[in-house]
Amino acid sequence: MEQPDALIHQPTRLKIMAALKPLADGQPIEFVRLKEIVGATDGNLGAHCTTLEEAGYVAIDKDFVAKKPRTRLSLTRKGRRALEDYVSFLRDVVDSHSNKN
Amino acid sequence: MPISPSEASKALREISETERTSSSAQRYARAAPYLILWGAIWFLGYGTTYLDPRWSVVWLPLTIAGAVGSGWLGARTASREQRYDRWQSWATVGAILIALCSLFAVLPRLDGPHIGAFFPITIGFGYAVVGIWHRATRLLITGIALTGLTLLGFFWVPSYFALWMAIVGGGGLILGGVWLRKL
Repeated sequence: MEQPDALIHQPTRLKIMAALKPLADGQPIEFVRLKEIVGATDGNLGAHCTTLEEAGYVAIDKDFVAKKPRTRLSLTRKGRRALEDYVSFLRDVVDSHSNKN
Repeated sequence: MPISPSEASKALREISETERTSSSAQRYARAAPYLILWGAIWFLGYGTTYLDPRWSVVWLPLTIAGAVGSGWLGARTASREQRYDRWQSWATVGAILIALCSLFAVLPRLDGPHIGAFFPITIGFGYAVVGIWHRATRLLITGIALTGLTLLGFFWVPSYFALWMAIVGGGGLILGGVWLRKL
């Protein structure tokens, strides 16, 4: 990867992806809990999640529990792979700098 | 989009930190219902025993209810997360029940306060060990607090030990569970 993935490179989206990574494949996390982990506002987080969903990196599932709306997110395989590639890219940058010194 | 080595290092640190926070939140979310369930059981069991020690037989149905509840919680987690199979949850509950029966069979007959202190201390120690191994600070604190408060009640207010355990032990477990659910 010559360039970092622009979608993940954005700090809030990077945090969203990192927060979803420890979950098993397809295991969702509630929007409210994700908001606490990422430390973003509802609107900001919602917008970034939509961007990631459009890229196919996260899946968003909306339903009702006890008549209250619930939004859950999970990392897709494409998203997991993209994050792994992004982390490899970052490590390469750090390693190449270390090797030069 | 060039990225400097210091930016890359910072991003890696942030990823690592967020992953750790998320993992802890998941672990706590998994553990919290068990603490709340057993807190309620302790509240009922110790509370009933305090009101009339002859009703201590209530512990049998309460323990069975707790075991079934714990098995169900574990099986539900298995369905949701697919990290392990549902049968493993029920097998764990079965193994713990067999261990308990074995302990009761071989230990000398303990009186109420001694048996009432033995299990909370063992469980508190278990929480502390799990907390150490999983770097789950809140679970470690809950385990230490549970053990310490049980010892305090046992030696400080022996006459009111069952009441102490109902309020401080049961209530403490419920509060610990609620605390775990909060990030």
